[in-house]
Amino acid sequence: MKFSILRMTLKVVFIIFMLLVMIGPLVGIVIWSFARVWYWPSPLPQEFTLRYWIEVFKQGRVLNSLVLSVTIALLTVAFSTLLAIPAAYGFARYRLPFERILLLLFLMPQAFPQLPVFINLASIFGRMGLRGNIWGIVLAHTMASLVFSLWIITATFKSIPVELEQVAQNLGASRFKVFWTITFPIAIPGIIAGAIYVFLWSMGEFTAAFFIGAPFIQTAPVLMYTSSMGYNLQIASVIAIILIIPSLIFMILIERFLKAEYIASLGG
Amino acid sequence: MAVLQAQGLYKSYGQVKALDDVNIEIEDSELLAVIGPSGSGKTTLLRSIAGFVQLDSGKIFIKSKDITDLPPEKRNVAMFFQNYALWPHMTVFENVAYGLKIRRYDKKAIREKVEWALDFLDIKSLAERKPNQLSGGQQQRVALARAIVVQPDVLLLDEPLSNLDAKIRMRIRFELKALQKKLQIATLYVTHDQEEALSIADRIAVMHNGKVLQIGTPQQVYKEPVNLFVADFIGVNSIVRIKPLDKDIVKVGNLEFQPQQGVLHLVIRAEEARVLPAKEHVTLKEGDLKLEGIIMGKLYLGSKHRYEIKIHGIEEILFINSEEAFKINEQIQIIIPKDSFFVYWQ
Repeated sequence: MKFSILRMTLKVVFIIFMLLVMIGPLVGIVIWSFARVWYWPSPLPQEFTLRYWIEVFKQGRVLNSLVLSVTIALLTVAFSTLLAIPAAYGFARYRLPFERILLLLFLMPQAFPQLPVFINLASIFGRMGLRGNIWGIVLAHTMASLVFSLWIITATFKSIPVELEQVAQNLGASRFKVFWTITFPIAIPGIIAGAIYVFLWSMGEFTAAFFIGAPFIQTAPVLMYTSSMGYNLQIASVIAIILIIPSLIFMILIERFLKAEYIASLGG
Repeated sequence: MAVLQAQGLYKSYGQVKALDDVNIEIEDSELLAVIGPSGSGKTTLLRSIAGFVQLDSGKIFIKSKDITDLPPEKRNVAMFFQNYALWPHMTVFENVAYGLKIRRYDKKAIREKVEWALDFLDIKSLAERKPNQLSGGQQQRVALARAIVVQPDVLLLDEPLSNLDAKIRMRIRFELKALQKKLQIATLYVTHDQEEALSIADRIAVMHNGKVLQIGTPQQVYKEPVNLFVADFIGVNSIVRIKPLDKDIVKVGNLEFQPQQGVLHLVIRAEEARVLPAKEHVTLKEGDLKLEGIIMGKLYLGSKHRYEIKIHGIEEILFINSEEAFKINEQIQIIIPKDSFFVYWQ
């Protein structure tokens, strides 16, 4: 009996500790977003205010940048997924020459430090007239995020037994029909998982958005960065909190859609 | 008239010959079982008829029409996959209806045909369930319904019973046979289980290393195996190998054999050999084989015992079942009727 009380206590302490680790940093941001005056070493701000929240919602700047971020993210998801589906099907079902090297090639934009990669890309885009407009950012994001959707969707297709397609073919369905009636519907959870991941990555991406979007385009992360550099930590906190919302939706969706076997067959 | 004719099929994977001059025919409403150990080419044969294997050479005809170069979706053959391959995102009804939808039947016809198939296999009550809510046996029936509902020219069954447990398998064997006779579909049945093949097939083709060694009725294959491999693969056997010492006659028990090239292989159908006490007097029929030996060990099997028997003058140990009880080290004689043992020189 005593033993189980001890265990119970340990369990509760552990859970509280984990919550502190996970939620602690968020608490700081939430407090900052309401702080008017907050000097060190006081644990809480000296004065609270709603001013910054109101400011964010009144000033078009912040909301505009959020809308812009969501638009870019949605376009990126659309291009990235549409490009990845046929490519992933090829990788999953056919023996392509240099398969592994090709798969690794898509990793390149993510394999090196983001700063040099995107500064170089920005200078190339500059010559092509793609700087300072959202299509430049969408293109950069699509290129860089293709690896996520490609790898996740390839793994999804690989996890679908080829017999499921062969039965359909055996019953008279053409290859095209087999894909749309069998393979694609079964792969939808994996495709959604890939899309969510790309969406979140694009929403939070700073470097490419900053260098390619400048000076006319300010996505939410860029705005957050400039506000916090301008010592406006409160505005940055408010934006950060708003940016968390998609992540929360992501957590809920991922729990519903992403199955362990998709991840397990990654790269296999 | 033969519904399916396969003529001179060849297929090799690198050095391995999966099909080596395979010729088979299936008559109307006949069930042909193809048996052989794993790697014998039986599954390759089935998949080449379905169109999933590109042949190196040879021709396949269905109802006298050459289908060798047709893609899988253009051959009217229905294949039953070993792991059932039901589509997880569709209900049982949708699974079975798929082939009919592809064939552009109207809604009413689809409903009627699917209900007929579900009824036929006694799974009507499962129509709205998803495959993951079904037991193995139920999944098997759904897969079968999906294959027969399109009225294929040939039904291809790939180890249909291998994923079921032993008790259900016995019952399903009877059902499957009755079903196939009722439907009268020409059927190719691939299995590695010789007992299953003997009990269910009209004819059996025994394959080994890509070659068809023998085709015949179960009785023919069991009673008149053409070579050592077939004799050994069918039935429960004990094999004895005897190397002739000189050019003289080889004596095995009461029989004598003229030496030929190689080693004498004696295949004994263990289920038909009788074990008797050494002293008991038996009158042998012409050609029966009598061996004398000693009991080395025994296993209790319920209704009978499995004996380990050392034959005088032969090194190898025989394993034979008998209902009678013997003691270890007891002297015994084994009587093997003349059509229950086979002699091959190899």
